[in-house]
Amino acid sequence: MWRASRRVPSKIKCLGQGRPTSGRPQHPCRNYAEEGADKSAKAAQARLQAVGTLPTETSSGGVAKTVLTATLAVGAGVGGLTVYAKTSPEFRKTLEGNVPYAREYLRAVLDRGPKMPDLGLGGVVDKAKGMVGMGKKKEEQPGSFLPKLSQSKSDEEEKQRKAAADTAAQAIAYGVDQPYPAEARESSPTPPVKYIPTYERGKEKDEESSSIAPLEEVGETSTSLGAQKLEEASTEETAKPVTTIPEAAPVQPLPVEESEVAAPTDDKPREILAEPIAFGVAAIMGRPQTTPKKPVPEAPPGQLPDEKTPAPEKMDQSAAEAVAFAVSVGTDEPMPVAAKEPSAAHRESAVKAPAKEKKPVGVEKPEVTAAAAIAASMDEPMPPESKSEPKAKKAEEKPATKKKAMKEKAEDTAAAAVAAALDQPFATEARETPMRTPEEVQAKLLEKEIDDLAERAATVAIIQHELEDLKRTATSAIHAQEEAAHATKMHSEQIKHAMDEDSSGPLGKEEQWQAVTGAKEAKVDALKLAEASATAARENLEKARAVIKEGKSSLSEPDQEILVAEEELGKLAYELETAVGKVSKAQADAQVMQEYQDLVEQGRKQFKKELESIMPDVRLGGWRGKLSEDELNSLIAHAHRRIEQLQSQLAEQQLLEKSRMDDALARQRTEDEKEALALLKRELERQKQELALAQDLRIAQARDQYETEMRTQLRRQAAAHSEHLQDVLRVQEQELGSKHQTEMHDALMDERDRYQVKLNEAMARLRGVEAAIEGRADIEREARKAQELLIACETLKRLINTGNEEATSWEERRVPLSREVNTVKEAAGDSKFFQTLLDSVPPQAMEAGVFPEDSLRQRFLRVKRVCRRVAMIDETGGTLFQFFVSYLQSLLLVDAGRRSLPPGKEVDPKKLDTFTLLSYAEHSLENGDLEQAARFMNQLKGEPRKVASDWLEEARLTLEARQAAQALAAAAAAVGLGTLV
Amino acid sequence: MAAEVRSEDELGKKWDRCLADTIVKMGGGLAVGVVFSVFLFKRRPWPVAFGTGVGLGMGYSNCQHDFRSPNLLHGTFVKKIEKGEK
Repeated sequence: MWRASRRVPSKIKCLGQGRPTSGRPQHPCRNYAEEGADKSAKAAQARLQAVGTLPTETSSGGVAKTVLTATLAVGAGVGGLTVYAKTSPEFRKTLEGNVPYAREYLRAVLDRGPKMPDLGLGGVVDKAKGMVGMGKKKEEQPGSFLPKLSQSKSDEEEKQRKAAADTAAQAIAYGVDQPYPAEARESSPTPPVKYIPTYERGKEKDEESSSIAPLEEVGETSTSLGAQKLEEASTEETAKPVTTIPEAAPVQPLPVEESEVAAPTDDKPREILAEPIAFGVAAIMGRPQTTPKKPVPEAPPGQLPDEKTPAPEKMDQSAAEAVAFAVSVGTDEPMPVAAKEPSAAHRESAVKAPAKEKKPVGVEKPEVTAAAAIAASMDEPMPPESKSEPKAKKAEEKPATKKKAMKEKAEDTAAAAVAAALDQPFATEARETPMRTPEEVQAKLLEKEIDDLAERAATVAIIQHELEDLKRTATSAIHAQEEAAHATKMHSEQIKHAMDEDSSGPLGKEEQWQAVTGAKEAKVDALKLAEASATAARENLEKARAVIKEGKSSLSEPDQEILVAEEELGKLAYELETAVGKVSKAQADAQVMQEYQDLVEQGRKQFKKELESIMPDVRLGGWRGKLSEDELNSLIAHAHRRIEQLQSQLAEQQLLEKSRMDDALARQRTEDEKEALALLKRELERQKQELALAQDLRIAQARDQYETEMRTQLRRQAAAHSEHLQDVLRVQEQELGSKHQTEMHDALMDERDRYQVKLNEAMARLRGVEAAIEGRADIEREARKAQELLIACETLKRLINTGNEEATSWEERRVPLSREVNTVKEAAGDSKFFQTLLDSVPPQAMEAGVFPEDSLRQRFLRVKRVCRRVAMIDETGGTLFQFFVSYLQSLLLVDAGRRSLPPGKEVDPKKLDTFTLLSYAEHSLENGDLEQAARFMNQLKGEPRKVASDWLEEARLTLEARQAAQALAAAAAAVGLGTLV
Repeated sequence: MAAEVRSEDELGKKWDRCLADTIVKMGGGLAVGVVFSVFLFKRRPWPVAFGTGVGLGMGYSNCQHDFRSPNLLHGTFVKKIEKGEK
């Protein structure tokens, strides 16, 4: 509603504006302008037509289009200029200097910046941003209101509201755009017809629902896509046209509307928006808020002068819609029919129902909330019997939806409350008994509690449902009884009236008797109805009683709700019985009257008979004209006789009067007694019930009290027990600790001693092992030394034998022995034996090295040749000629058979000449006996000895070194063998 | 090692030296003989043969002396190098 009321005026403003000089209300216009003429000139035109500001004929559509386009263009231009002027001060100055009224306009528009509403320039920007779709823009506008709505309210409320508004806005975005213009168009020619329901709702429920139905259908068919949002949209829809139409009523002249629309401050719509939503939220949140704070009408009050609806009713309406809206938002379920039917009675009930139901839903009574929630959930499928009465159904379904709306909320609150309620005792318990895991216990208890709660809630729900049913039936039954009593009384009165003789003429009598007949029929009907309803009520009563009994028996402790229900049940039963008693009393009265009537009738008949017997010719009642004298006489006579008779009878009667009186009195007494008995019985019943109720109540209270007391006592006991347990445990712990300590100490000492012994043994063994290892290591070291020595000696030997193996000529095969000798010296250590041996190595061999045997052999060939050449020269030397002759001799001497001659076993030194010696030496060399060769060579004399002296020297060196090395190697081998053991 | 001559090579060296000395001496005698022959003796041949014979004789004498005295040193002057110089 509020949305519609906001929207339409903005359009009207737009149209009416035209001039850019008007101040504030221009913004929506600018919005439209900037939305662009390109976007929807047609749609705008349709809306304008719907609003009724343009000539609605399609023939003048061209003109309207032109005008509209011009207006939009001008608006767009002005809007653009304004926006630009806001951003650039120079441009604004220019504008103010050049354009008349621009200064005032801009000041009015731009300098009020902070006071402007959000939909002002922000809206413009939004629109400019979201040029794409109009629907989305519309949804943004109400959204932008929301944050400002109520900062004083809680955040949750605000969130809810936001969500609700968003959904609503979306719904509008979906649903409003298409159906709205069509509806408006078709509704504009006949607006009052559709408007009437709005304020006549309170009086005519059924009519109005039927009259609203088509509108609803329009909304529903246009939006029935099944989604819940669309459902909301449909509710919005149903609400919307109702308020829209009166505003668009052609009766209103446009200027008036415009001025009035422009009049209200921009805060109003927000409040209008805020109120229903806040109310709806309050309904959801379970806060009893029966009346809104400010009765703000949704539409400006002056706008509809012919509307006499008072503001509160409107508010009711809006509140109801808000509630319905909230319900639809909260439940996520399609709105039930009852909620959609905007009858005032329903609305009131809707407004009051949450308040009534919410009242018990305090913070301290989560069960009730849960009960209500579960009742709501159970109520939906339950009432098949209640469908028989449409009225009851409506009444039923309304709270049902309410309940459903609250269901989740209530369950949440219940769970939270239960958790909160259980949290504290559990926390303390958990603290007192730390052996148990508190979470587990808490969870289990919580679970149990919730189960219990749910069961109780279910029972209570059933009982409440039954009670409601019963109440309805009982009320109707009582009503019927009263009606019946009334009818009976009326009937009696009528009879009495009719039997009064002189009240009116015979004609009136006839009418009276007719009335009596009618009354009787009415009475019979009423009685029948009363009986039927009474039976139904009794049945219901029994049912309710059974249910309550069952509930009482099923629940471990009687609930407050059940007690209350029982009390109510008793009250209802009493009322019913009272009504039935009233009827029976009235019936008894009627019986007396009947008897009286019968008596009168009888008397009359008797009189007639008597008269006929006296004067058979005179037809009583049939006479016409005057009576004859005879007749009169006879009549008089008869009368006299009759009088006499009557007098005697009277006397007799007077006599009998007393006894009769007594009789009547007795009868009356018995009747009264019966009545009184019945009354007494009823009262007794009632009192018994009340007493029982009170007892139950007291039992329940006592049980509660004892329960709490028991709990506290138990808690205390548990605490005491745990404390005691802790003390005992502490003492025990100390005792055990000391005992354990002594034992431990003893054991420790024993163990230590044993360990010490073992350790000593192990140490001794270890030392032995160490000594062994050390000995072994010494041996190893020796062996290693010996090995090293051996290796060094062997190396020395090898070097002496082979020399430098890489040498190309024999002269270069000499290698200095100092390095190897030093190595041997190091390896030998300070062994004197080795020192002596090493000292025996000639120093020349150490420095220059010795030739190996191969080299000496090679050298020997040349030495031998030269020796042969100078073989004739003796020690004294010779002439040159002698040398020449010796050379000739060597040339001529062929030593074929004597070359490399093996020496015999015995050699005579005196017989040896140079050539023989050389031959022997060569042979010795060839056989590897350098020493022998050297010996032979040493036998040379004269010049050949001189020639061979160098070779001999070298050979001696080599032999010496070799001998030393061999000795060393042998010694080293001996040492190594010694270490091998 | 020129300084150290092996004992077996010493005779060869002596022969070398003798030959070289003899040739030089013979060549010198020949030259003197030629000069004498040309300038004094009107190109007579005998001064040449005489000179050559003298040279040969000198060489022979020297050679024999060399072979006879094995302990004669055939040295050359060697410049003494101060220890601190290097």
